[in-house]
Amino acid sequence: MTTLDEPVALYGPDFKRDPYAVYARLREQGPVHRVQFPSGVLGWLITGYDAAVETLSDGRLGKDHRLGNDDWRALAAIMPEPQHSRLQVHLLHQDPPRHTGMRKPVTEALSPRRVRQHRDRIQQIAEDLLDELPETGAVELVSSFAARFSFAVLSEMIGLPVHLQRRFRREWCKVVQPVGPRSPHRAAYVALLHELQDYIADVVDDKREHTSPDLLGELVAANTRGELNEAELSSMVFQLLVAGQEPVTNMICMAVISLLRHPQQLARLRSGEADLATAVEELFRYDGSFELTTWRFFREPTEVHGVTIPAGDSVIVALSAANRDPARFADPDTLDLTRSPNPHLGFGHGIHFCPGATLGRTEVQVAVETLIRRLPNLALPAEPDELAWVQAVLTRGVERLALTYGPESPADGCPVAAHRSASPT
Amino acid sequence: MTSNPATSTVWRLEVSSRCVGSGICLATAPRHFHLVDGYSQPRTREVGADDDALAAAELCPMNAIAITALDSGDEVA
Repeated sequence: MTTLDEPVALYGPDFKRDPYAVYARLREQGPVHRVQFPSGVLGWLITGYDAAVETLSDGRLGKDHRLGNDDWRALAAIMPEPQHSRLQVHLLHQDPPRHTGMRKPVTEALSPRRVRQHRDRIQQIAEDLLDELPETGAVELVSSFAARFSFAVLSEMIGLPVHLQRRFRREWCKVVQPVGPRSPHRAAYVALLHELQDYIADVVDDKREHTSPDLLGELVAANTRGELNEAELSSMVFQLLVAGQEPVTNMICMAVISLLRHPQQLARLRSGEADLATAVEELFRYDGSFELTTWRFFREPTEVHGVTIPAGDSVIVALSAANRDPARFADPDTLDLTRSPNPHLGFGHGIHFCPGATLGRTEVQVAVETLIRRLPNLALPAEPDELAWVQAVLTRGVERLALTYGPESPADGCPVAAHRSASPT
Repeated sequence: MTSNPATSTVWRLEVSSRCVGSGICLATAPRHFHLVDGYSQPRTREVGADDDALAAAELCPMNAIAITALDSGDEVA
C-alpha cells in the first residue's frame, strides 16, 4: 500500500515545470499518497476528482492549525508567533460555526452582483494599463500588467485607500510561501512578515478614522461591534490582501501560457467560436494557479480509501490532479475552450470554496479578452522549459513572463493569430 | 410590513443555473443539498424553516440558492 512507499516529493524545478505527469501516475495508483514537502513535513495527498470532492466536503477534517500534531508543527512552514496568532486566524484556518459568521461579509462584498457592478471599472483598469505599453515590442507580463491589474482591482473592490495602495509592496505576498524553521531564509521571511503586519495595522487605523461602505470598512465596523476580534480582523485583512491578488496574477499568466501553447484554441476564442466565460473555466481547469489546497487535519485517526491517516497529520488535496482526472473529464489533458459542463475544482470545493471566485473569474475574463485584443500577434518566445516557474508548493505560476507582440513580429508557428482582433464585449 | 418570511414554517428551495458546484451548501446544509453531476440540487424542494439552509443560501458565492416562504411567496434569501 502507499504507506510503505517512499514519500513522493512535491517540489523541485522538474516537478514544478510539469506536475501533471506525477499526478497522473499517482492517480492511477489510488487516491491517497504519502508525500513530502520542502519543509520536510510528511503529509497525505489526495488525488482524483471524486476523492477530492469527498475530502473537501468531509466535516471530520478541520483547518484550525491547533489540530496539527507535534510532528507536523516541528517542521511545518508556518508563521512564527506572535504573527501566526495575529494574521492566520482568517477564513482558511477557521472551522464552523465561527467560519460561517466570518465568511458572510466577504461573500456579500464579493457577490456576483457587486462584481457585475464593478465590471466596467475592471475593464477600464485593464485598458489603462495596456495604454502604457508601446504599440509593438516586448512585455514582461507579470510586472507590466498581471500584478498591477490584480492589485488595482482588489484595492477598489475592498476599499483600500490610494495613499495605502502606493505603500503596498508586492513582495509581501510571498509571506504565504513561508519557509520552515530550519531554512536559512527564515530571518528574511520574518522581517517581511513584520513589515506586512505594520502595514495592516495602518490599514485598520485608517479605516477606523474614515468609515467607508466597503469591505475593509465593514470588517472594521464588525470589530467595533464586537463581532470580530482584533486578531480575526487583522487576519482577514491579511487574507484579502494576499489571497486576493497573487492567485489572480498567476492565473492570468497561466491562462496566457496555455493559450499561446495552443494556437488553434486561441483562434477559436478570437473568432468567437469559443465563448469567453466558458473558455476561462477551461483555462482554470487545464492549468490553474491553485495547485494544492492548504492543510486539513483529522481529529482522530481516520481510514480513507484503505489508508489510516493519523490524527493531526496534514491532508492536502491536489486540485490540479482532480482537474485532470479522466474519470471526470473526457480527454483531460486536452485544452478544449468549449468544454461544458466543466465542474473543475480550481477554486476548491466545500465551505472553503474561494469567496472571491466570481471576482477572480471576471478578472481573468477581462484580462484575457483585453490582452488578446490589444496586443496582436502575442507570442511566447521562451520554450516552456525555460519559463521561471514559481517554486511555491501550493501555486502554479511564473515569476516572469516575457512576451512579444505587434504586427511587425508575427508569432512563430502561430499563423492564426495574425491580424485578427476580437471585438470588445 | 408583512410578517417576517424567515419565520414562515415552510420554505421552497431552488438552485439556479448560476450554480458552479462550489459545494458550500452541501457542507453547510447537507440535509438539504446534494451534488448531481457536479452541481447542487435541493434534496427536497419544500423544507421546514431551517438555519442551515438559510446559511447555505447566504454563503453561496454565486447567489444561486433562492429560498421563498411557501405561504406568502416572500423571498427569505
